[in-house]
Amino acid sequence: MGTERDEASALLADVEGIEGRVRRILIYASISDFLFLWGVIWAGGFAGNYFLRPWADAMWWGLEAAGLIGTVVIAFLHHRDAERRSSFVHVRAGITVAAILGFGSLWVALTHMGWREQVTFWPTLLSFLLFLVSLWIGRALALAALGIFAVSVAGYYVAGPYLNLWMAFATGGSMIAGGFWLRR
Amino acid sequence: MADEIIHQSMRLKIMSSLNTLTRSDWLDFTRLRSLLDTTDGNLGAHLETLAKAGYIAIDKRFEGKRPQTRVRATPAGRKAFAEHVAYLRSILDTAKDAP
Repeated sequence: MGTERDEASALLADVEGIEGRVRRILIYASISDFLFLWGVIWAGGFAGNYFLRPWADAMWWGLEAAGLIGTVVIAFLHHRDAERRSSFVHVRAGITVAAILGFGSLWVALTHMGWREQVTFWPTLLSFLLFLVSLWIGRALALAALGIFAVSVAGYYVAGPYLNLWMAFATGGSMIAGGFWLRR
Repeated sequence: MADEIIHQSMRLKIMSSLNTLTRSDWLDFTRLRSLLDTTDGNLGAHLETLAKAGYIAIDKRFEGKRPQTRVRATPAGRKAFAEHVAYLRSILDTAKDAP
């Protein structure tokens, strides 16, 4: 009886371990889709700031609108696929992101943040959120978050007049690379 | 009642992986192999056994020029897995209740 119980206990532990690993892969797949989307938008927007300055404002409106639509579409697709997960998980995730964006916008307005600080602030806030999430999910996400954070802060100090290009290629690129890293 | 096909450790892990996905999702052979940390031959043999029992579906196709094998649990496989996990839990519960 003891042996049978030990074996059953070990097998159930295996089941839980594997289920946890598969869930982590699914969560990483969701996050990587968002990183691909916003990495491309970030890269396009800042490349536009540098190369197409007169049209940059209009371009950002268009890119942000496309980003929001893309975000909703990705969230919808993952929500539809996750038929066996609680829909409340997605509602909580949406509220978390909205709260962080609201918090960021409030402090951008209250502190009259300059342009250089703003463009560094948003990717560092995103990576900060991803890092907090990683504490519950896994090391790969923590590394992706730290990578985006480090590249963004480095750009603030070293890119000088080329901060737009840095944000387009280094920060946007690090978000896209983070997406590939999570899917490896 | 124990399901002798699923009871084997590697096959139980395979079914756990596939059961965590949605009913329409397939899992790539190479992803499953790295998830379970096993070899091509070992995984292939266990997948054959599960497929013969009707617990999984195996789809072989080409993605571009590259052959791709993917698998997913069938409704019968999901049912058998759920029953086997319930059986394992019942062993623990019985042991807990024993004087």
